Amino acid sequence: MDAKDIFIIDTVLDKYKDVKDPALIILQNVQAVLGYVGKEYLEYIAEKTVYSLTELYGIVTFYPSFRLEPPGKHMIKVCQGTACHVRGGEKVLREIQTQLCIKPGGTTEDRLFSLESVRCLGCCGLSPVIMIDNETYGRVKPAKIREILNKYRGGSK
Amino acid sequence: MIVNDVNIDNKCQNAPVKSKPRVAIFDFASCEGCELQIANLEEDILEVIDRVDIVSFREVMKEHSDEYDVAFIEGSINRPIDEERIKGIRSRAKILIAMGDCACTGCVNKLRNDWSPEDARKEVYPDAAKQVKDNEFFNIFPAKAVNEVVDVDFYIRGCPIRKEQFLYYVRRFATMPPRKNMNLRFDISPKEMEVDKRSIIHYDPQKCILCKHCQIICNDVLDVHAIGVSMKGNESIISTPFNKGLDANNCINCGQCLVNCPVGAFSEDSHIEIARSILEDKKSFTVVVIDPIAMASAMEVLQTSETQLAPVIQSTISIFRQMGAKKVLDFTNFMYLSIAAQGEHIRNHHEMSFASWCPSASIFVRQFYPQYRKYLRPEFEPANVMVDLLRRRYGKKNLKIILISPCIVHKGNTNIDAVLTARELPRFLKSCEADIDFYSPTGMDFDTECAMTTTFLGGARNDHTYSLPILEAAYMGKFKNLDSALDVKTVGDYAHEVSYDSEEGFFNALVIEDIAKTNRYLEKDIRKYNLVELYPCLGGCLTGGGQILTTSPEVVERRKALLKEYKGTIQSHDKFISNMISAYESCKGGE
Repeated sequence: MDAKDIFIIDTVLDKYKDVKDPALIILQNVQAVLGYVGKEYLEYIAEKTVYSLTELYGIVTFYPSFRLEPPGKHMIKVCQGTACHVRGGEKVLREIQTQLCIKPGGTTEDRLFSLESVRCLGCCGLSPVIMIDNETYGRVKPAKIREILNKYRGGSK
Repeated sequence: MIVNDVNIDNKCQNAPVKSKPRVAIFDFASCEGCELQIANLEEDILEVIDRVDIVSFREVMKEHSDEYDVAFIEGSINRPIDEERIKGIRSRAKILIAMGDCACTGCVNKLRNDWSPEDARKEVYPDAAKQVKDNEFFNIFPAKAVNEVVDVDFYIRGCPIRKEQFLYYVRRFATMPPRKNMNLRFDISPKEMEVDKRSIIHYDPQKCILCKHCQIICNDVLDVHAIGVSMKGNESIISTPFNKGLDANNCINCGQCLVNCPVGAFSEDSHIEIARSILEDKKSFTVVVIDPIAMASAMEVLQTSETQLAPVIQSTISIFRQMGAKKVLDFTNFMYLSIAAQGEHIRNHHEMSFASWCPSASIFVRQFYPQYRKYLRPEFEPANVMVDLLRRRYGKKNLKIILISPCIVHKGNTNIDAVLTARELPRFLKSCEADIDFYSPTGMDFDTECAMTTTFLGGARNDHTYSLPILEAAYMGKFKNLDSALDVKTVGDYAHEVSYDSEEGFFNALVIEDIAKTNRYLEKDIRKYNLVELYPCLGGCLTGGGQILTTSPEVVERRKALLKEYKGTIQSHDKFISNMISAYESCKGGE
């Protein structure tokens, strides 16, 4: 944790010092700026506020939107909504899991990919759908996964 | 399974068709989300109806029958009519399963219990308060979990439950017909957890029903914040931050989570086997030290007809001697020695010091107030005095110490070879096939070699087991004659200032009975006090971390009365301090 991180967290803490029960909003803001709420960040927040590390850890693990690990370079969102489920979204997710050796919520060891399973992405006509960063891929078949992922592996994107 | 059934049918065509277990699903005050989990079983619903008959399930079917074997209950009990209904269900069902957090613990419904039923009604039905007042559907009492009204056989926790857990029971009842008082091992692991080998407290998520008693004790009552709830729904577990071991976290080893766990999800490092192997080893010189406070609690579980403490302790001494203990000593002696040593220390030093009594209190100060670390005197703690003295007396070789203690914190003391808590002692005696209820004419008394001839009748003055003795020793150590009464001033919730002013000087002590409130006092300058005493456990050693679960204040009172009676049999003496110090010194001299 460097001086920049400390400055960012201090700014957030200062901004919400008059808010009643600010734990959630502090954590959200820290994650929004720093990308995740890691162990050192939590320990620092616990030191500076009335919240204990135990309470903060409880909050962070309760809400799926918080990440304890820094996210990968590319975020893969795999839709598991009704339409995608019917058209084989589960198989697509399983294929990505086996190729990257991670579970939803995890990040690959080389920090290139993070995987998330999401509900509807709003384009059911293209189901099954996956989304990598801001790009959407429709009508995805498990056989095509390797090809799609390789686009991001070569450093071209 | 199905193939087998076909085979049987082929073999005995005329055999009566084996009836399937009848299952009923009921809801009380709840969101019906757990029932929805069952309704949403999708293709698995085929397996369910294949294995069991669902005879009542209001959410999905209108048929109803009062003939059932297994009842799944969702929701908490809130009204007299609910109570009547659940009692009826209990009488008809062979097995009753509480399903979901509302049924298991009362969950969100219990939030209402902070208000009176009238206030709750006014809040929810402000305009129709009059109309609902006499209506039996709105006649509520404080919300109760199912097990507070009727007996519950099994619990499925989670908000909502996991489908697999419901299916697990369906499968078990299909293969093993439900009957009353059946014993099923529940083997679905909610979540794998890192295990820490160094910690003396262990947690088993499979047994945990997430009642959060431990969390409340640890965070709200003691303010230690070692454990809390993490994750959510059916994945939630009690854990430390980042699943590190308890030792690596704030834990002060007070063991209150363990004592307050209603289902035994927390357990201590068992020293039963170690103690047995020490006693069986003929080469070692085994010294057993018994703390009467632990015996006062262990008595509640020991199968004994005695109503007094002294005969039970005597039989225990006798049992240990027969097992091969060379010496059996009373821990109280070392407590007095500790008091004496501390009194002496205060007399000679003008600096502030913490009362060295409970190792948990020392750990607490070391972890949360490192600036005061130099004021701790761990060498004066009774357990350390004991180790020191026994090593001087019996030499270091082959010496093995077994301590019967009311607290698990001593298990972390590497100088003591085995520590049996009040919970472990009955199990230990049972595993050695020793019977407490026997008459043995010899070897019933403590060895007196290290014991003082004079003991001090103390502890009964305060609600806590031992409080004023240390203080009194400190004062007597400082002033020799304590002719007038101590000036006790309450300075806040659970904190007292005890002072004494005389020609010889001024002495001031601070007693904090609730460590959750320490922030307020310890962050001020406490160096003006000569002595500061902290209590990690509410209720003292009588409800310490190694004791048997206390369900009511009467139990504590009974233990206290037992101890008082026991100590009353020992002669009290006023000038105990000088005698004890000289005895301690002579022990040191005999090195």
